[in-house]
Formats: sequence, structure tokens, C-alpha cells
Amino acid sequence: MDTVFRASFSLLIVLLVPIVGYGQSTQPDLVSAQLLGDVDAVAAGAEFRLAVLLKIKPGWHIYWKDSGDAGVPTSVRVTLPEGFRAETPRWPVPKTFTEAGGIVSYGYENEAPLVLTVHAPQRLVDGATRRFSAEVTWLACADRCVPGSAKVHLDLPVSGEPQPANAERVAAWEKHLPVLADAPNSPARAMVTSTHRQPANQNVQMSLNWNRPLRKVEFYPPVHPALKIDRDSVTIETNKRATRIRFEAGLIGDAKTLKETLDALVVWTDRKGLRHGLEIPVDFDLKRSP
Amino acid sequence: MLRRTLAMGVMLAAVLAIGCEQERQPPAPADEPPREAAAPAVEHATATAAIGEPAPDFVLEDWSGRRIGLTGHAGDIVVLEWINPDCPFVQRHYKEGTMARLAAKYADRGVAWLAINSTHYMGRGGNQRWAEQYELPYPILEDRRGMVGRLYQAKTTPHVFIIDREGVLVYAGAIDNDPAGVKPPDERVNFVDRALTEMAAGQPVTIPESKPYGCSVKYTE
Repeated sequence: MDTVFRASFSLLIVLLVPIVGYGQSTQPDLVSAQLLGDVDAVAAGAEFRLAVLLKIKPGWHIYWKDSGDAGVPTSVRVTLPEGFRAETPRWPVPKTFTEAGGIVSYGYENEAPLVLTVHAPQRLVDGATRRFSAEVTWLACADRCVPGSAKVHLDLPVSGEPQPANAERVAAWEKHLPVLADAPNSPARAMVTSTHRQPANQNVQMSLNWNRPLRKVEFYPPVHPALKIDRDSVTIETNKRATRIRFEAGLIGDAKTLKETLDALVVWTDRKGLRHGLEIPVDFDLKRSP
Repeated sequence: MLRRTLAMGVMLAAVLAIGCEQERQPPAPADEPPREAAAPAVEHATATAAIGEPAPDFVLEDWSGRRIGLTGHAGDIVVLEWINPDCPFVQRHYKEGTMARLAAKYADRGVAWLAINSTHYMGRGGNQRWAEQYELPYPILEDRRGMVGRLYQAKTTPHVFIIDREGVLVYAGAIDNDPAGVKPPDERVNFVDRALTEMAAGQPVTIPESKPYGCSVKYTE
């Protein structure tokens, strides 16, 4: 009898373990945060995804990983259980905000899922529930700006056979994420070439050949604290199913060199008016003249 | 007579028909060629500031009505600091005394510090209250119509510009490299302090530009 009771009780606990984690926001009426997983449990050697889902009050916006002319990028810091490893967060496709004075910034309204791919270690030493935490900081702006932050966590049990969870929400957040240019479902083939007039200046040309009709092409330059891309130098030309994007890149601040591959984001609007993102890697090699 | 009126009538009808015909264009096809969305056009005043070029002149009034401009500071190094007391980034720096400390450090080395407020909804009263609250040793110039802000293309508060003794713009950008205000002292670089030290020693400014951070300047439409 006692055993039955205990077993039922344990079962009840397992069923009640949340697969959606909540947290505390400093400005809950402006931005709320939740941590969601696409699985209901973790297993050794498994790969799964976590999403920090931010909900923003109508009329307000927060910023992309590059805020543009003003504002501050949203940032996320994750704390993982021992042995777990997370890849760099994937940012949903931003939109452009233009304010008086020609101030252009990039960010999100309503909802933004920041998605992380997490890898479990090859061996899990015990069956204890694992806690995943994230701290998000943002600047929320409307006609004025208010900084904020939230701490969120998600507890996942250990299981030999994790099941998919939050399927509908996962499908929804997938729609927001850009695809890579060389992925099978990519809408275009991309080719990138660069020329240097001087070691500290690089002219980049991206050629895109689309495999479907589209209405509009937008360009969001790669982001790096040492990288400067003058918006006035960006040109976008589209002819039938080919787009050519050109821009100039240089160094800014106290950086002496930049030798890195960074992703540029091309946003294309389909015939239904929906916006999608395409990530294209660009190799940068800049050296400040001594 | 009748023939002429008739002819005029026909001509008038023809003209009207042509006019109408031009207005009644067939609707654009559903999959028109994609329109390029280049970056939205930035509105420029006729002579905007550029690093290495003479800084555009202006005259503005502080909250007591005193008229202050670049010509009155010929021969000085001039620092222009865009400000908005309602912006959390400005508030943090003023609590920390960042700008006042710098202004005081270079005051007797021929450096004039001018704060400029291009916030469209804030006037002299707001500027005066802020100046008095922090006992500022430098003026806050009222630019609520946004003319000087647009001339310099000030984007954020704070956004700092430094003009050398010959009137050339030599620095434009952030006050420092720490937008969140969290870097430890040995990692925080104050670009303005660094530039002013170099200029005071007669050396070129080694970091003429950095990405400014802060709230957007709240210009009038």
C-alpha cells in the first residue's frame, strides 16, 4: 500500500515537472521572458534546443544583436549544468525602425525567440533533474527608453527517451529564424567576393541567385565591435532572379585588425508579404595602417 | 461657327480622353520585380559634419538666454556632448560624474565643454533643472528644433564630438567603450579623455571615431 502510494506520488511529480520555465523580469509590463525547450527531458549525448521567448508590450521595441544607430543590443547569458555546451544564440529576423532625424535601428516588436542549440555530455553521472538558466538584458524603447533584465530557468528531468515538447511553439519560433545560404532549404545560391583598396578598407560584393519569386530584399550588415559599415555605401540591385549587394567595410574604435568570418543577413519578402532571413558568411581581413 | 465649336468640342473631348486614359493605368502585375530596399535615406542638412573637415558653425542659447557658438570659441578645443536628461545612459553617466569630471580636468587647458539638448519636448526649464541638479560647470544649449543635431548627425545621447583649435572635427562617437557600464576600470576606455590627452600633448588623435551608444536623439518630426 505504502509502495503504491509512493509510486503514484512520484509519477504525479514527474507529470507536473514543467517543460516551460518562468522567471522574473525587472519590467514585466514592458518585456516578459520565458525559457522553453523543444524536449521534455535530457539524455546523454543528446542535442536539443532552448528558446528564450521575449514578449514585448505593443508600442515598444527591443534591439537586435546590432542595435543600429541607437539603442543597445539585447544580450543573453546562459548557465548550463555540468558537461552541457551551448552554441551561439540564433537571432530571429529583425525589422528596421526609422525615427526622426534619420536614426535607423534594428530590433523586435511583440515577440522575439532567442534560440540556442544545446549539447548534452556523452555521459550523465546521475539522474537528477538538470536546471538551465538564462539572464537576458535589453533596452525597451517607445518614445522613451527603459533598460530591463530577466532571469529565467527551466528544469528538465533525465530520461533515456526524451520526447518532443512545445511542438507548436517550436514551429512558430522556427519561422522567425534565418536559414543559412548553403542549407538545403535556402532560397538562393550566394557568392561573395572582396577587394581591398587599402589594408584597412574592404569592398564586398554579394551575388544572390534566387530560386523563387520575391517582392523585396533588405540587407542587415554583419556585426562586430571593430567593424564599421557605412550605411550610405550599401547598394542593393535586383534584376529578375538575381540580386547584387555591395558595401564598404572598415575598422572603427581601437581595433588594429579584424580577421574573421561574420554573417551578413539578407531579409527577403515573399509574395505573401512575409519576411524571411538568409545568413551569408563574409570573410573579413582588415589591418589598420601603422 | 458651329463647325468650329464642334471641332473645339472634339479636340477638348480628345484631350480629356487622353488625360483620363493616362490616369487609368492597368494595375501593376502581382509579382512585379522586387523593389530594392536600400537603407532608408538619411536626411542631411546642406553641410554636415565629417571627421577631418571643418566643423559646421552654429549659435544656440543656453537656459539663461546666453548665445554660444563655435566662433566665440575660436582657438579653443571644443567638446560637444549631446544630452537628454530622460535617457538612462545619460542619467548613469551624470550620477557617476563622467562628463563633469572630464570638463573640469581640461578646463584650464583651453577646452570648452558644451552640452547640447536636441530633445524636441524639452526646453530651457528642463535644461536648467538638470544643470542645477548636477551643478554643471558648462552650459546646456537648447536645440529642440534639432537643427544643430541634424547638422552633426547626432544619433544618440550621449554622442560626443571634439573640434580642434583650428576648427576641424577630430573625434565623433561614444564617450567610452562600455555601453552597459559594467566593464572593470582596467578595461574601460574613455575615448574623449584619451583624445583630449593626445590633443593637449600636441599629438594626433589615435581613435578618431567609435560607435556611439545610448538612446536615440528624440528629434522633432
